[in-house]
Amino acid sequence: MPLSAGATFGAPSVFPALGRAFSFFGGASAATVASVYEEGPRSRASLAMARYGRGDDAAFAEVYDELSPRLFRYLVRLTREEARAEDLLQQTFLQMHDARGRFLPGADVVPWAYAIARRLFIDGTRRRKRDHLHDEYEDERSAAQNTAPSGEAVASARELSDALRTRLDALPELQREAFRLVREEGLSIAEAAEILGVTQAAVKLRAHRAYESLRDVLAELGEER
Amino acid sequence: MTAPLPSAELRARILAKTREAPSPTRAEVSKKRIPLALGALVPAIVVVALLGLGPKGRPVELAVLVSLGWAAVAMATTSLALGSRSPLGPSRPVLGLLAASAPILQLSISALGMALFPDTWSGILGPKNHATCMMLSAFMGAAPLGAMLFHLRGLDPVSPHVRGAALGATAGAWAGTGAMLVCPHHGAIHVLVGHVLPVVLFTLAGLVVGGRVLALQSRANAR
Repeated sequence: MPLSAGATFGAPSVFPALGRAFSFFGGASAATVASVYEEGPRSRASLAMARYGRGDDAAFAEVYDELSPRLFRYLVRLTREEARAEDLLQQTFLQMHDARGRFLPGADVVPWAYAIARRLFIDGTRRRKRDHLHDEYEDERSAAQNTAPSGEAVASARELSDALRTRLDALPELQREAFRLVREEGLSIAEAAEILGVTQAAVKLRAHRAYESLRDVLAELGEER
Repeated sequence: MTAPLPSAELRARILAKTREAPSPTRAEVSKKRIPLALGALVPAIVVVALLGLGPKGRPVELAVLVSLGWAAVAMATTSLALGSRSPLGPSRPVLGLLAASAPILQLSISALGMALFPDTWSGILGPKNHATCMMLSAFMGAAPLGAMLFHLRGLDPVSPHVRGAALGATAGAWAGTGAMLVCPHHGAIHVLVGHVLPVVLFTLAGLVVGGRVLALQSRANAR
């Protein structure tokens, strides 16, 4: 039977959060806490990050290899500049490196990494004093790709893509972010909620509203043709 | 069309940077927490040592009930504010609820105590008495708040302001409990001004200061 963090402090096992809270004040050795959470079913990246936090320096390369492709794709979508995405990716991993001693085994590294990347993007964008957040939405290209790429088809696809991107840009930030994380990045509702700092119900609602809004664009374009 | 991938050179650069500037492991961070936590307790220990514990003119049952109740709220607040397994901490709604509810719950416990001991509702006390308890709370709560903010500085990418408020409420709740243990006074106005108001002020201080201190600090010129 797995132990709870609360048990390491003599507290009832039904109060793991209380146990973890008191570990903040140095109440348990890191090794004790580490052994408690090692059993949780987590991604390879999370397990590697836990090992890194414990002092296994080689584990960070594994964390990088597991997370960097999807984080980079996410950042390229946000920035639409590969050079800037690389810079943000580097900052993200260095932040994770700096905070490795605070990563508890059993925690999920994915929402944390996305949240750092997103925050760095937002802060960087504000610093650059851009008028609006950049975005890219390309999921609706398949219709054009299924036919011969005539000039008309290409123009039509571009029109569709532009219309969707414009609508996505016009959505409230949380709707846009919820849609992007859930529909484009394939994260779970719970992970998106953690990244955005809102409830799961709010993520569901916002992603759905964004989806409905984009569907309206498709319908409008369909009627015009 | 294939998805873009980060360059191999970037991977090498990031891993080289982590080797150049090692960061503290969990064991090292845990070691640093101990003096920080002990330092945060010093003001409360000084106050208790100088003023002593006890009902001091209040009915013993009232003093016990209120002190235990306030301590329970402080424990629950600490558990929720610091007990999350996620490196992102508790969600923003939880933190917001926590920050808002701590002073309300503690006020409710005091109100319950006063309802059970109706003689303690009133009491003519001057502003000096209220100010004394406020100062005691401020003295006992500033160090824990500072310690928590220092420990978590620059780490919150999602909701630093709300987390700061929750940490402020936590520090305020413990400071209020400490003040409740040594305070000889009772009365609705005194509880409100001398004890609950400091919790609210700590929450606001956490909101303002925490937003700045806890927010993720981006590394300029990471390249």
